[in-house]
Amino acid sequence: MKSIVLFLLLSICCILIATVLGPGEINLLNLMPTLKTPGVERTILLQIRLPRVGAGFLVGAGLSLAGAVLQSLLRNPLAEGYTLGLSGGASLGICLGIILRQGFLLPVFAFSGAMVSMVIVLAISQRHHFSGATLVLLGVVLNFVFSAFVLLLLAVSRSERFYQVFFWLVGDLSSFPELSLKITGPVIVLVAIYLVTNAKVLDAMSLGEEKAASLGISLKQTRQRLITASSLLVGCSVAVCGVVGFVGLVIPHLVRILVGATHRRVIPGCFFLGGCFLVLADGLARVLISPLEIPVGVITGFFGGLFFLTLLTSQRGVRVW
Amino acid sequence: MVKSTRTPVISAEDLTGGYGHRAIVKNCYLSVEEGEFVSIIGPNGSGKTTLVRLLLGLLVPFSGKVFFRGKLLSQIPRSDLARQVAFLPSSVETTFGYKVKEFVALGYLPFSLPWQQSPEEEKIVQESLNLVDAASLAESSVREISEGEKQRVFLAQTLAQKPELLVLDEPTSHLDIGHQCSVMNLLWRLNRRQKVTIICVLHDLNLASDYCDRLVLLKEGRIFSAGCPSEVLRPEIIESVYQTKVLLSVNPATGRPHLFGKPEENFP
Repeated sequence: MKSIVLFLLLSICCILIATVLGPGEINLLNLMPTLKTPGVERTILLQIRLPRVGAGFLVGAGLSLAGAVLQSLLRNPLAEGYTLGLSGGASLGICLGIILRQGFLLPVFAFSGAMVSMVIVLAISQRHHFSGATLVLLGVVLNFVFSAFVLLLLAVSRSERFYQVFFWLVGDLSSFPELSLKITGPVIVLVAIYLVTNAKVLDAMSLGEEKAASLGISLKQTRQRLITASSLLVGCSVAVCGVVGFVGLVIPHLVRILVGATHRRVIPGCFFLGGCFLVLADGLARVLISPLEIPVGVITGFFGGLFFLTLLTSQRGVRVW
Repeated sequence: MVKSTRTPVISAEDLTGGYGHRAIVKNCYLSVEEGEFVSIIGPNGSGKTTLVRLLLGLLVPFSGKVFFRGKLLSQIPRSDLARQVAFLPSSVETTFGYKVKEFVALGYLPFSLPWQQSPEEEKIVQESLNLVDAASLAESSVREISEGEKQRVFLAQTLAQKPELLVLDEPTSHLDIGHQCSVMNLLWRLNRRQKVTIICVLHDLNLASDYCDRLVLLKEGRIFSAGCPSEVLRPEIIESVYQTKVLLSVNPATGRPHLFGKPEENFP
């Protein structure tokens, strides 16, 4: 309980800081007066900054939760939506959706893409007993295949929407479609609530399938639910801002270091810390080379990639396989 | 056939099963009574683990039936079964650094709701840890304790499940002789004092002989011999199953048969 209150406070701080970061005359001290007086600054705050921060928070939370679920389900600390190719599948789904001009259905396309890739990963890894880095290799292969398909789609369709597609592949919060957020936001929150109420199931699954079954977990049903949950989380996140890598890897590890491994604490931790992380990363993306912006995916890719490397090479702490 | 007045805890009738299309366990008949301490033995690849999986319903048999207390196993919901039967697989994953007490508490899962943490849970964790002599480990991480300690903690987790039937797959592998004995002593105490029925896959014939009431010897997926240690651990039986020469003696401490491998003729 205490940790949740702390996470909540941290989240509020991060959201406040991120809201004032960026070009414009807004800072923490004049935040309240600006909100009260009508003007350009107020419009920026309410119609651009706040929705963007909200979107960032939900995406960060969603990706971190997906990472925690996948790591427990596959008992693999390297698993997450990006490394397993779920994001790749989702972005292929999005590209299909864009080319077919199905703006409203983009989240559904993204979810389907993530789901297809998740089912492939699970089927192959179970048949061939993939674990550790081999599983991630499988994800890399899937990502290659999906991006080949994306390029194929671009080449064949000769879409004038090339830039729009590119935006989904990088992971950028600067111009997310608000429609997508209205659909995906509630979904991410609902899945998070489902996961908190099933925290012990995640604990049990992380002990191995035989042990989980002997603890009374019905494997088939649980597996299906967790696959759907992680695909929903990744699909929804990608539908808002494209592929943002490594958040699902960095945050669950950080949370486990902070609050321990029980999912009763890991799940809320991932939700809040993941949200904070992406909100701050996006804030950084806005100010680093202001007035230009860096896509937030570039920042998480850079930090997350380094973190991934340390995980792979670390002697102590996180044993990988 | 000896007539039994009680329903067996678990019984298998003409059980055949395996993976894909390959049958590993073939036509097994087995019945375990309340309060027994039974060991399943046999050479590598003889189907010991597969038999255990079939008995627990973790693997669906090709043919034949398994009954748990007279009820068809496939008709008992997993969550009900988990309140009566605990299983310690040959490997439990410790990918994540749960604290020992959190890890043991997971054994209580069949009795609690997936989001609840009841006060009883804490009590049962404490009791289970005391039973395996690991109370001092409660705050350590399961990834940072030794193999012997891990095995005791895994056992504590199955005890938190308050089982009437405890099934273990090679609980003593990778352990030195001291830890082997402490695990077996613990199982023996559970069996005699708490009246837990135990089915245990063992590699070590002599450990099985010392501690178990009944041995079930598998050869190529079929039950080759079953009975008390002195009936099963006879040199002619062991030699034909394990394809090696053995000598029979007696453990002075338990009076149970012990087997010794016989070196080649001209061994110094």
